Amino acid sequence: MLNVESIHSYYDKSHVLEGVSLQVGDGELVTLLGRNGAGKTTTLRSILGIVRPRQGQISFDGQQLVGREIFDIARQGIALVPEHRGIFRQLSVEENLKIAVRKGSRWQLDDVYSMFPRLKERRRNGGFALSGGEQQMLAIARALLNGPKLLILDEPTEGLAPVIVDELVKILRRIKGEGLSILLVEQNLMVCDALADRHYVLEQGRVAYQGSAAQFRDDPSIKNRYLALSA
Amino acid sequence: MLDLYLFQLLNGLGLGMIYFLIAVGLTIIFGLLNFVNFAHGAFFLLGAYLCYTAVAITGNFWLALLIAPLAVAALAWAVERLLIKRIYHLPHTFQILVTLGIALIIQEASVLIWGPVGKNIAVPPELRGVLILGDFIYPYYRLFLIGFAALIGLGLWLLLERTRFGALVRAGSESTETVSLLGTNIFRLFSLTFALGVGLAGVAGVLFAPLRGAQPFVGPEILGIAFVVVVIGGMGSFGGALVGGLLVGVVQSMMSSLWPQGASLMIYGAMAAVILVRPYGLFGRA
Repeated sequence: MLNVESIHSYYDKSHVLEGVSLQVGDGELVTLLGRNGAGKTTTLRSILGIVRPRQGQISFDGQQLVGREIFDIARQGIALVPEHRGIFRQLSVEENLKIAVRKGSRWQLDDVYSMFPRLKERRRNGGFALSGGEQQMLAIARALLNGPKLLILDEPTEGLAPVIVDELVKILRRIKGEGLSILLVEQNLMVCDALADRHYVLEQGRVAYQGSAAQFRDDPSIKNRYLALSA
Repeated sequence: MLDLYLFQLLNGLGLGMIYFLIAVGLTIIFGLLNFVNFAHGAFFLLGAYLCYTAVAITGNFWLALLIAPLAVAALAWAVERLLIKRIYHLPHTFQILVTLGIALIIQEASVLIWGPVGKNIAVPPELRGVLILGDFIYPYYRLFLIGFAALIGLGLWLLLERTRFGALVRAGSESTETVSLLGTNIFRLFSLTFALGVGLAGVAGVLFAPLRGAQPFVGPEILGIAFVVVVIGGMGSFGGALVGGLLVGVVQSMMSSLWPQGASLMIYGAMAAVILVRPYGLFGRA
């Protein structure tokens, strides 16, 4: 479904991605791991059209994405839950949702309200008044309304209490169960282990490791080599 | 004496509603697009002149009130597509240079087309005459002005606060990138917002025309007042434009009977007083 082929992306002159390739299949949940600065967010930004790769191809559902406008790529069915949630503070909860509603999406307003009853209770509150967990739920609900075939989440559990993280895992499992493809950037390895079919590990702008969930779980040396905080 | 003050107060409200219409367009464009439009006064001027021509051709002020603002908005839309959209990313000083250039082109083109002497536009026949309440006398047109501008303001508020378009505009003022990521063509939204903001200046130009006529060099003065209103009310604030517009209109109008020479001075005095107490304006945020 998503096929990223050896993309090279830059910020000004610094070469951030040096030939990243990855695939996400239909209904698959794939994680993208790596230390801070390894190029995870830049990979996502390249897929979404925020950063234009100077080399390489990205195809989605048979369509080429490189060089297209951000909104055009989103309309092909790629939705992002951004790193800092991207909730519009001046808009109410319901307005945050309504601007994302797309006809033909499997999820409509009633569906996400029944999935996230808390959002329905708070629908008239301003976006600024939500807790971190509520903001995360709102960001996910908003992405679902946008009619995605592929959902991309950038560090969704960052800064959330463990109880909320558990809830989030349940929700992601449920969304995956409905057949949506998911690309997840996440630091919390417990969450990754609980959800993923496959993993990619990025290091210094390259894919340093890829493997199935089982291979990854059984080989602690990978975690030590690529992901441990101190060498 | 009291009647005189009431008269001037109503005049001030009418003037203030016109200032509101001009300033709210300016503030919407600034708030969403982070764009400084120094051509705003020139588009106001164009609204007044197009009103003159439309009345001259059709003989109908009401038709002019519809056509002239739409024509101004259409022109603004075209200018945005051709030129403005290329300079959103530049610093404000560059935006000022470019829009000042546009303002001069509009102003000089107006002189070429309509001549260097101003044109008078008659008050529509339905609104000629005065309201008489005991000793108090007030022109119908000015009452209409207050009511009509209030309706436009209400419509605009509903558009911005109660529709999907309005929610997108407000969302865009927080993060254009996040709005794009939701599949909205932000460039189209920008063009529409610019045309809407400038169209409001066109409406104000038409409403103002029967009071003062269409004058070729009124643009810079109007632009100055619009910025005073926006600074008083707070950049990007709808409520600020309303309160600021009314404040400036009433101050200017009251002063014209108390101390005519100081009327303009007092506007800037009011602005200075407000920003001393609230640097970001009455409704502004840091």
